[in-house]
Amino acid sequence: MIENTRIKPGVVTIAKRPPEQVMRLARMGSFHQSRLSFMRVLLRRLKKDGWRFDRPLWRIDANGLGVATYRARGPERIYTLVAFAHDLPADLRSDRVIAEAWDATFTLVDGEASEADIARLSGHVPVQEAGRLSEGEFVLSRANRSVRLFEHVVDALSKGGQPDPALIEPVGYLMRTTAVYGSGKFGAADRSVWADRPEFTGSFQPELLSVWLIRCFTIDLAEHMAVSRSPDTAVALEPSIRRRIGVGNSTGLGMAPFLLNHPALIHSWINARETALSRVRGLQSASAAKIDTFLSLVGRAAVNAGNWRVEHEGQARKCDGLRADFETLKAHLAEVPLTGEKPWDALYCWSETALSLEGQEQLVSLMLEPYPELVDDLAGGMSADETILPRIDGTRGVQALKEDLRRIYAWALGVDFDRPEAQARVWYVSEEKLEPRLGERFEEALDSYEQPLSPGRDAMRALSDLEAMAEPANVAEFLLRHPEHRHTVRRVQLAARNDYAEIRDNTISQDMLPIDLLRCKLSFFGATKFDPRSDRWVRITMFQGAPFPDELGNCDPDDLAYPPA
Amino acid sequence: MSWSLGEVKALSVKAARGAGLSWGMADEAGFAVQWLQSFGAPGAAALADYLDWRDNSPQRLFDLCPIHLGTAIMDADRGLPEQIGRIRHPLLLAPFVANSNPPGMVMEWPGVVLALSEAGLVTQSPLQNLLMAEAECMARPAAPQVAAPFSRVPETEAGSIERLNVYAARTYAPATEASRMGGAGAGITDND
Repeated sequence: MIENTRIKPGVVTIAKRPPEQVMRLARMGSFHQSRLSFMRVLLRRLKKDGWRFDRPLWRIDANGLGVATYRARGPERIYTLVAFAHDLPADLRSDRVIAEAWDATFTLVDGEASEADIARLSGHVPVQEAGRLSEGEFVLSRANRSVRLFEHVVDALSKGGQPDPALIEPVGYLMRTTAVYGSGKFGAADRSVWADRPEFTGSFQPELLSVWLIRCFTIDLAEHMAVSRSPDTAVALEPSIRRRIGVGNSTGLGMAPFLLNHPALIHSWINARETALSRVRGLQSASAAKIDTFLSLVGRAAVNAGNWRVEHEGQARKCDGLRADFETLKAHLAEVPLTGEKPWDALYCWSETALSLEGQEQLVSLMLEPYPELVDDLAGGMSADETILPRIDGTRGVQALKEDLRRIYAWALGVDFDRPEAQARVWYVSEEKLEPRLGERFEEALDSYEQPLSPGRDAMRALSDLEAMAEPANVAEFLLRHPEHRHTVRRVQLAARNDYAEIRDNTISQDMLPIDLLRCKLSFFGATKFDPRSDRWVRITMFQGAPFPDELGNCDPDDLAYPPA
Repeated sequence: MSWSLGEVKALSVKAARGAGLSWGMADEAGFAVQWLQSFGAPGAAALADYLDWRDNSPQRLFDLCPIHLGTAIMDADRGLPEQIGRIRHPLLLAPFVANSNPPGMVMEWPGVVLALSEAGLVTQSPLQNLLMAEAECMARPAAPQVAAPFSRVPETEAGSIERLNVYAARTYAPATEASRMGGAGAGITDND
């Protein structure tokens, strides 16, 4: 049943984990970054292709207001990040979509940014969703300061000292982005404009290039403000301390529907990771060098887990579990070294009996690390052209449709959706700046605004109507009678061809945690330090530890994905 | 100012849903508009006209509906009869005909000849005829023609976009304090 396994010559794979195991919210909400994460894919490519970076414009005043540009020059093309720095009153500093002002706003321009471009963009980028971009721009973004850390860094540098690493490490950024829009949003270029450019192979590459350049801007701004404050004593950040500063991101419910609305894309991501795991588990033996790499990274990932501090009760419990898992793992590895037959498969199978979901998924990511030759090529398949609506095959018989519904939504067959707790939640969009929200179905009058983000319940409704209808000739006839099931039928047919397209859980139940959806997507971005601010809202750190443009030529970005031991 | 095809498609889906189509049919409306606009045809205007008609039509005359007919043709994969018959806003039927068998078709109604295939839409017909509200339509197989693609929805569609926005707004829940505080998981300070 598992299809789409990319066969690599000479590589023995074992069966991939089934979607019934992988596509559960609790597990997806425990994913960690890996070699296949898009930030790491981006940095590998920028290094391999010898990209060069500079800052053509720095027109920022002593108060930190103005505009700057960052230019990325690749083998064929140039991109420019245009950064606007603003004066934001403290009471307006909000991570939410409904915010209307930010500390800094950004756009990624296709090519060089002329003075005329900057003048035009200065009327649109600072107002974000209220402005309009053109086909010459790929990304729209904004960021707010981490007030405490930004001030600490500026203060320390202005006095000739360095910031305290113990304060930097738990926050990990000077600014956090609160939205990074791409692909045609607010007038920006459609994905199809750049989809076949090799530098953007995979997913979210223009967005993450922007974020990586935003990181430079946040450092430059802090150093600039330190000099402005005290020109005689100010110093620059030490490179080793600077590297521990990434970019934050604050993500709310807007990202959760993404996983449900892009089933083919999600399949491509998860399928790549599961294929990579099956290749590594299929290895007959592990060389001493590979084992050394793995053991070293286990130690460094344990440091990362040790530094991971959160207030959110559920995540705090998971972090405690992860730290305990590392102790269990280290003890196990001391007792059962990786010198036996099929060592990785044995280790993975052991983990299912011994570690929490956090620990199991951390282990999966770590097992991929020593094997770039088995893993990295899969990154090229982690995208999907979703321009064309997937066609419904109406000629198929209804029996096959019923079977697919019962197989893919097996978990839902036993759920009584008439019970309030089974459909306690409603996904909707507020008229307030179109902010995506999650409401209480039985407390607020929201039913008529419900977004189609409950595939399990909808599948059971379709199945029920199918069973009630006297033998429709085929799917087309069923849909003529029941156009309300059209989105479900399209989804089922797609999920039948793509094993990891569908989440095997109830996305509207009382105990569903939206942060699980956010965590899954953000782990594929390459985020670390997931810090839920509520069940619907998470802050993360991106590019913490990663090289800066001036370091890319001299270090291996993959080696910097975990903190130093 | 212009719009990306992706945002006009997304707006069309919301507008169609706001006007009462099921989500799955609204997706088809979005597909139709994006496909038409990607070959320079006035898809957004045609959808706005269609939604106005549908919104004011008490019986919801599905037998005249181009999107219901279009999806039925595509689903059944059986091709069109030569006499399609009377249909509302026939331009919206074109994307479905173009993407069904046989691979090349000519669709006609008074004052309009459309050459259709998966590779696009080619026509010399004037705009007001393309946007005819209701017409008797014919179709016949023909050799596919290659059309020039358009990557943007032009400024001239601003009025149609505005009309679609009105329908799309029906899918947005009114703002309430409970929704503002609870719905997004806020209630904590971000000034840190």
